[in-house]
Amino acid sequence: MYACASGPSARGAARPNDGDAVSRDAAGASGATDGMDHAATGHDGHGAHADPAAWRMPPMDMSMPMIPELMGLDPRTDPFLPGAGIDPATLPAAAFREVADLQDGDTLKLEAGLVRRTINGRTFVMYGFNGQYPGPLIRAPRDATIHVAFHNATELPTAIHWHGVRLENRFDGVPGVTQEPVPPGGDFHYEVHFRDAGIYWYHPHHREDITQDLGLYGNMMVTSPDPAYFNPANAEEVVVLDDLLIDEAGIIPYGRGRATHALMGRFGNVLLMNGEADYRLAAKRGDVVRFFLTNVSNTRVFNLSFDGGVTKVIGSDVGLYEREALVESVVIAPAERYIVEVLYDEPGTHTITNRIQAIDHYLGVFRTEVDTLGTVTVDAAETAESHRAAFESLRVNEDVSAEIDAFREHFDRPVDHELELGVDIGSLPLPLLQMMAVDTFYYHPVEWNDVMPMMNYLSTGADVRWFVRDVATGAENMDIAWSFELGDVVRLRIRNQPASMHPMHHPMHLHGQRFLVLERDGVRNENFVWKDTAVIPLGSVVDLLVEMSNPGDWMLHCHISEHLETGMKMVFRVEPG
Amino acid sequence: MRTENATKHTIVRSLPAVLAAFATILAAAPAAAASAHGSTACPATPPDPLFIRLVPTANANGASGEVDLRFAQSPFGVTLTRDGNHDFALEMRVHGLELPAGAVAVAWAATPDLGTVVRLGELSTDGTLEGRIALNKFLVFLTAETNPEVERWSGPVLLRGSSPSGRMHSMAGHGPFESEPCAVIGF
Repeated sequence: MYACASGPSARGAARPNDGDAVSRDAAGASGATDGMDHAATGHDGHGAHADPAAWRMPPMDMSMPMIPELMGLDPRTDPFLPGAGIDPATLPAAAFREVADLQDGDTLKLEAGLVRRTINGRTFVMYGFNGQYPGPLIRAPRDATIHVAFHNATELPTAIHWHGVRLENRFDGVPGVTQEPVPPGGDFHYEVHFRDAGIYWYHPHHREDITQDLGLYGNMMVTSPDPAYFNPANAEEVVVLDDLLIDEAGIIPYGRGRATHALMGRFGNVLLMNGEADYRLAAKRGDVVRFFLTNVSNTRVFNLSFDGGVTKVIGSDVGLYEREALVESVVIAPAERYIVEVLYDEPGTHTITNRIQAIDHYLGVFRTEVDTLGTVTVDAAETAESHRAAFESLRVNEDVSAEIDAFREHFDRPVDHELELGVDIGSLPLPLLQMMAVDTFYYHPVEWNDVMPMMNYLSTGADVRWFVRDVATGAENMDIAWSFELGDVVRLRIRNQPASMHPMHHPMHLHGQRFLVLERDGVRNENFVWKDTAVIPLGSVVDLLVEMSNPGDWMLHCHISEHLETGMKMVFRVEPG
Repeated sequence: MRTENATKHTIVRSLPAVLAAFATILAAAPAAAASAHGSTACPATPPDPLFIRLVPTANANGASGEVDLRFAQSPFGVTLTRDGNHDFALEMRVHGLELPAGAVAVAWAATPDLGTVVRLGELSTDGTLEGRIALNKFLVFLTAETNPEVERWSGPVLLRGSSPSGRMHSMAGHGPFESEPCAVIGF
């Protein structure tokens, strides 16, 4: 599909659907054998002979003709790739993550540094925590407090945010709010208290469009003291979903001074599970495998299918659902986590796939895109211990419902605060603005693919400003001044209406607190789970019920990395009371 | 004729026309930057991606209707089928519809080529209907039927509309710089 890139995810054929009269070959990832005249559509400026560290046209679908006025344009910032001037051979080869089993009071040394990563047989200079990919899996019991001695061995200032954890505010890891950025060569000591059982992740909160995309992320598994917290399972897999944008010359550079891909975020063309383009798992017939899924990509929303298995969702960001539910696939936005169990009953090799309906705005059609992220080989031999009965009984977590009962009196409270989401677009190249005006025919509620790669790549923070706007005051982004008291329960409405030049969905994340997704478009949720990140589709109005349980200054922002970098953030205060 | 080759030729033949149109537009384009705060360079209110207006045919003069789409209930923030189709719950409201004696209004959704047809159900006496649809582009229409259980429409079309995604036309074949949404005439 991205015909100018090499090193494919195993992408299946684009198939016409819903009566769209378009039939296309399955374009090989190299594009060399597709029989198309690349020059005729302007696609002869891609990375085959480019300087890997220089700007160049990003890989894109070959059927999209190039706009002549856009060819030769570069983003309005200098290009950046890690490790400039360093011989990659001198860097350590990244190793698969290790598990750090920690108890209350333990200290973990964590270092962010440069590594060599091999993906699809090609070697890239990237980042890693402790030379690993993903970063070390921190496992600790609920109520424990661990210490993290962090050292920044990268060339960029950074900090670590402990996503989803309701920890002490001064350790939240947000430069400019809770700390100064840790400079290259600098150190910072974090104390991380685990108040809630669940699956969390840690990542930078400064230029995360670069550093997170290049590998600075890892999970935290906080275990419950209740031995029956989870159903019995034969195996557990902690899996990180990600993508990476590469072409024949290497990783497409990032913006040194400001983020590129500011319009839609950076979509990668190689999809990864736990940093691998070909994730593999072995299971026995009848095995129940519990997957802890985290989406660490900059912008991609995945629709993940565990083919050959029966899938049940049991938990999300900050705990378990009131009721387990069978699902066909798992829709997971950036920064979200989902806990699913899969019963593998059929011997054979089964795929884990991402299936989306991509949009081709030029032709005005949808096309199915199927990417295989990994395989699960199910042995014909029966599992040693069957947990089928537990799997098939859809558990009702009465303790979860009981805890939520304390908040039900607030379910019908009036809206306390309302945010609008939008974008201001400045001096993009005129052909780009004209194309965007044409695109106003239709905006998809969720952008599943990069529908305009060249336009997206050229947009930077110099041209694009995403905002959250307080409807009551008109204040935007860091000018919004909300203050709450500890213990407040707040109904927050987030409205994502299409009245802007390039509206799109946004995964909105609140630091330090937890919330329930109360209503979507006026319809009450029927099965609650505590969350810290919720996707707001275009055209939707979503009401969150936030428990202000943690004092301090906390950020609320879109978790599309490039949107965060171009301003889509605010800080609210919870007074200790 | 192979559809694939026809598509390629269409793109190549139309490209000069597209570029010529570009040149015309660029020459006439206002210099103001596009902004959500009152610029003249972008539409005032882009169409709602979750709303369908139902337009009457001559069989239902004076009637009107609308359909609201929202993602069906699911554990996730967005509800999809396994293949990635948006899975919508829909709420239809019809106003001023006068049916022939003995007829009921039945609602349908179909792909634009009518290759896939989904019976949404019978319109209630208060003019409302709730249903579910998981197609990328679709038509929504009501027909007058004498048999409320009919599985394929046979009666006259009363009102029709198209999914918001139906506005996504080929720029190569449609006229790339028309800003008039075709939804005002039903498609």
